[in-house]
Amino acid sequence: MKKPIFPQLKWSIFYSFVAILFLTLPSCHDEVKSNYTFRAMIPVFLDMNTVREADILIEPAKPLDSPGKIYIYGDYLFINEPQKGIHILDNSNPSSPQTLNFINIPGNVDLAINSNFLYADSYVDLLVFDISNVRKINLEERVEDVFEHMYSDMSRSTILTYKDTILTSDSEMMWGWQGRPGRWMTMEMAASSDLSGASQSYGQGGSMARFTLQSGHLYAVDDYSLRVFDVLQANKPKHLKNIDLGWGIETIFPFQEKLFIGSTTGMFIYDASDPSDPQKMSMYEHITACDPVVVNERYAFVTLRSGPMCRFGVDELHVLDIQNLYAPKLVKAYPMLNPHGLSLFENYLYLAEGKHGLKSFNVSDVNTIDTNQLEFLKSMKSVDIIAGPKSLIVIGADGVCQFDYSNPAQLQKLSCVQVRNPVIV
Amino acid sequence: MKITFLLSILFCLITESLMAQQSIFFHQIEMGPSFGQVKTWNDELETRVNFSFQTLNGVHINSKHALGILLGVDSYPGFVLAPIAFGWRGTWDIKGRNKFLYGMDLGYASAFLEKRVLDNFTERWFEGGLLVSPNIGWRWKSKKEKFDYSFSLAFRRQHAYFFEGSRGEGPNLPGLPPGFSAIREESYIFNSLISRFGIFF
Repeated sequence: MKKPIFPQLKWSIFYSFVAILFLTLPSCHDEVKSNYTFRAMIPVFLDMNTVREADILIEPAKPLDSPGKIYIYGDYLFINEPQKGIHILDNSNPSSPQTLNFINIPGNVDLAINSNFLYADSYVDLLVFDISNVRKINLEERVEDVFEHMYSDMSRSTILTYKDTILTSDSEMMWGWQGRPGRWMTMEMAASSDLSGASQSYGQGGSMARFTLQSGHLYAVDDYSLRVFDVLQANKPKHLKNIDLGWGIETIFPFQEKLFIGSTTGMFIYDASDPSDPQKMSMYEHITACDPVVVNERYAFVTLRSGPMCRFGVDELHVLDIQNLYAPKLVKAYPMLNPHGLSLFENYLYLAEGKHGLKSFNVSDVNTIDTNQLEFLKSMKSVDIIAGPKSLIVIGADGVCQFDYSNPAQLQKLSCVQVRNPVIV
Repeated sequence: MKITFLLSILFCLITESLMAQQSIFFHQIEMGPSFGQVKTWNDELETRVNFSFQTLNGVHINSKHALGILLGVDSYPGFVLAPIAFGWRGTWDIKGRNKFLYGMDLGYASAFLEKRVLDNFTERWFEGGLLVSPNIGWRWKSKKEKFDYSFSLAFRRQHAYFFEGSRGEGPNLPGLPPGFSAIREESYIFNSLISRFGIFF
């Protein structure tokens, strides 16, 4: 009987397919595209003479992009746009704040106001504006070269600043393909000073300020020093001296002729009874963490937090007994979730818990703060708080929000100023 | 190794319990090694060996063709994907108990088996992607004629993604997801040759 050839044909097709697979597939390797996008502070060199020649413009009101520090003065809110300038808002009705105008100040990060004069930094200079009429603001004075740490070459008036930039890099390599893709070395060059100073600090009167006024003097902290200005003649600030503080300086809080300076390693207390020559009284040391501070007559409240810029930190609220200012003592440490800024009003402490929300406490008994929590607004992601005369101002993911805190146990939201790029918490 | 061991037990149990059934429905369980080539940092190619397991359950639409839903588990370097796809199988009678087998799987592989790792500073997660997998093989009846064995070779093109983000503070910048200061995205297209042993019942 004659065998059909068809099965043999089928088998030949099968074997052909198998051969093609084995011959072609080895040349077909995995395709990997690795794209690394990161935020970086790119160094930018500027000629300070050119910066000074440019006009400081008072511009019409414009939307808030990314608010920095906030200062309350009378019925007005002054909101810094880091490196760009200052928005002025009419806050006579906290339920409906109105933007009025914008002062275009290149390189501005900090501000403070004294007797209708606004002090604002512009890279290495300190500017003084007359704001007695906020609709007609005048540049009154420019005190040059007072923040000289920004100079990269002072003889040529060249300053070094950083621009917040997104960079990308590509590769075709599969990271750690023999196991779970390995963690990469972070290439962020973000200068902690710029991030903590510009993006995470929100205002005079708040706990995260770097400019403060007391006894006719303006005090400004940068990463490692305290600068003292005589502003007894409000429109003519005089730079008196720099006091070296070490590194990691973050915030300054004035109270009863004392300066409480928060750093990443502890809290300094300076006696400013001679305002032109503050003297160090003591330092309360703790492990490395980001830490703003607020105080009353007896106690200092310090928040320590972990974070991208303070990676070895803990998340705690420390209460210090400061009755003996030369030897502050830890009364109690309370575990927190991720505390940022805080504000004290009478016996009530308002604490920004970052992405976890906003907490309020009755702190009349500092040993039982944890059991005297009044509210925990989990939806109110926040980074700093200012207890103002009219409202509690909260800076967070929703922009700049104001609360009625006449009943401290129950905050009532009044308004939120929307911003284009709200702070990420 | 644990996954391989568990899947082997599952394979045996399903086989044993369903061996005696005959209907218009068909079930295929397959497993075997998969091979691919990965480019290293110095542009050399290294072979990766992973594992593939899948079940295809469906109906015969005529004597030669069947359609079904494919569920499975595929390992890749450092992670595991779970394919969910449509599968088509065709057979071509040769002689005796032997059949030429061919087919196509088309669908999506999910990364739901991979946990999203989140700590204070970083976040890492995988995402799955499309898969296309033509295959050919040989199907033959067992001597007991209760079920068929199969051996197949498949090419599988599988898309997948890995993300690793560094949490960051400050205002959002265009180009980065909110809340991140850096993110690394790896997009993969895995081209694998899979050899599988399986059974039809």
